[in-house]
Amino acid sequence: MIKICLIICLLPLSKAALPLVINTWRFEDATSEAWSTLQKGGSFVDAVERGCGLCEMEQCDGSVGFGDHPDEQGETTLDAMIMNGDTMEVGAVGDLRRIKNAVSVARAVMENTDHTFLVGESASIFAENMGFKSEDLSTNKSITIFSQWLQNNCQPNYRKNVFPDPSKFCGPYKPKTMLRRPKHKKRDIDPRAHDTIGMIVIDKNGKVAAATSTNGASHKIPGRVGDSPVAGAGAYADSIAGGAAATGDGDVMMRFLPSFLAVELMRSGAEPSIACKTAISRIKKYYPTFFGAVICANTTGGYGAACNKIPELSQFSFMVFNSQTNQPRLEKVDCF
Amino acid sequence: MAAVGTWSFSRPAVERMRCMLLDGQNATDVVETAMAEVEDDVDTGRHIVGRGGFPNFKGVVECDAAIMEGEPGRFGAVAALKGIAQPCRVARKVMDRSPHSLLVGEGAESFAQEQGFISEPNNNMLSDHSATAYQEFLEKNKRVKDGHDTLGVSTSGAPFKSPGRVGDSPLPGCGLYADHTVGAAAATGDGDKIMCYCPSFHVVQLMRQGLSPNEACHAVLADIQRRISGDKCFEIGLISLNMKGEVGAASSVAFPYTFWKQGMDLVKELVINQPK
Repeated sequence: MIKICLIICLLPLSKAALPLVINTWRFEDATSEAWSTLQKGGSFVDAVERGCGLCEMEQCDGSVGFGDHPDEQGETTLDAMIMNGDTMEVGAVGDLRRIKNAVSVARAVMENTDHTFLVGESASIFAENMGFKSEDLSTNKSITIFSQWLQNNCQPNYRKNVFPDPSKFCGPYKPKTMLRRPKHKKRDIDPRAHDTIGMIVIDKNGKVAAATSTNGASHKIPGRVGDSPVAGAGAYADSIAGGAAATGDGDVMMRFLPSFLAVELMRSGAEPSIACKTAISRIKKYYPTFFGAVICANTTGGYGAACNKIPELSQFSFMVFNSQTNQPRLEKVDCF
Repeated sequence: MAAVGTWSFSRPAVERMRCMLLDGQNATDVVETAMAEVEDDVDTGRHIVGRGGFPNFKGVVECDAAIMEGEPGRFGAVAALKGIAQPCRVARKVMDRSPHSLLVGEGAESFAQEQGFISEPNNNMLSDHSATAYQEFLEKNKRVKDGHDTLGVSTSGAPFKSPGRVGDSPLPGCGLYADHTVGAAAATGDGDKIMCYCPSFHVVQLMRQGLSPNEACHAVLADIQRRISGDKCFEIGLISLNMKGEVGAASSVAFPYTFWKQGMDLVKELVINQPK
């Protein structure tokens, strides 16, 4: 008698979830752009660059790209980074002036220099030499915001322990003699001033790239660089484990390396949601009212997010696009 | 109480820290004072720190520095800062007098001036040694690849770097990291590469999980070496201290460091990874 044996082999479903694009906030055009770059044969690094780059052009939420969030001098300056989780190379720019495509300049730092991070006017000159167009990043909107801020006695601002009293007056400021150990009271800033795009792309082979782009905090002190262009803070990618990206109050978050921590936890086997939550908890312990969120993704296409619960943020939105969604899908996580 | 510094030239600084600590002074004041003395000393500039340090390829000395307190959330840094011979003092002002963490370039210089620092002309920031080296560089028109040094977290950066180049030193988790529940770590070496691995944060994270400072440093170094498998590892030295005053170090090159712990009469110099 001939018997037929049928063996059904269940393939791990998780691999079907690749490729994956995930980014902070409801920036769906950026998600679509990254996805279509992959579909057209672009690399995982191309995809994350084009995705974030689109937000720079579209001025996503006023928090990315030119024309908004002027600093104390009325200028819009940009921070961005890009990381290749295969080679562990990073390119970053901070306080970039006069150049719109910050994430592409970051890529040029990564691919056309042995350095990792360029800042300020010098970074802008480098960009010009690399063929980027130098142009004024101000718009009528940013100019209006700036002049209204001046008329409003420069409120809010990021000054402390100075005179004249920064809660009432504009500068210039001089330092005030202060007590031995300053009480580290964090000023509550408008949370809408901090919406960075952070994006992770994982291609069908599990290669991970991450990138961020932002125009930083509105009315920041000139020269201020936040977490976004700092590898391990704004974003991190490691094709062995996954990727993570952060958004929120960069002055605080950068001291805790949340993206590096989340990737390290995923490397040890943590689920992306747990990795994100732990990263947020670490900061929350010392800054209970900080504004911030983290997204995480691992190399089998699993993903998650976490955010710190404050009155201004009870739920965090992020976008996901993988072969199961077939379009950019808005997802939300409750903050804790 | 304990203090540790990278490379042999940190010895006088660690000596200074030992005296100030035994005198009961606050740890942050101690680190700031000791570092500022090294930064301002034109002779230590040849070790790529502060005054007398190597300029960028345009001949301008730009410094990076950071200071971090073990209580998380207390951090201040400057990068690509010109004309100030004690950049760690400006970093301290960023920590104490602004809610920001990192100020760079011209903005950092303006902030420093507001805080009462005097910007010095670039010629004052160069020493005979670094000026001569720069002339030689111009003649040869090539970059110096080795010789990256930092003390704690202060550096004039890679000699003849691109203007505006920031290395690992002023970045939290890269050049340094401190956590009062665990300890602290610092890195030195090729900053362009180091900052892709957040090694100081990683060392502290492993110590948090129970590894000794030495085990943590070695584990992070091994991890990095595995990641670049095959290629020769870039220059990286790691030092760490835990809250018990135990010290650890690991390095891809011969790496001297100086160390003092309460109970020791003298600052000790140790070398790891010496070529046989």
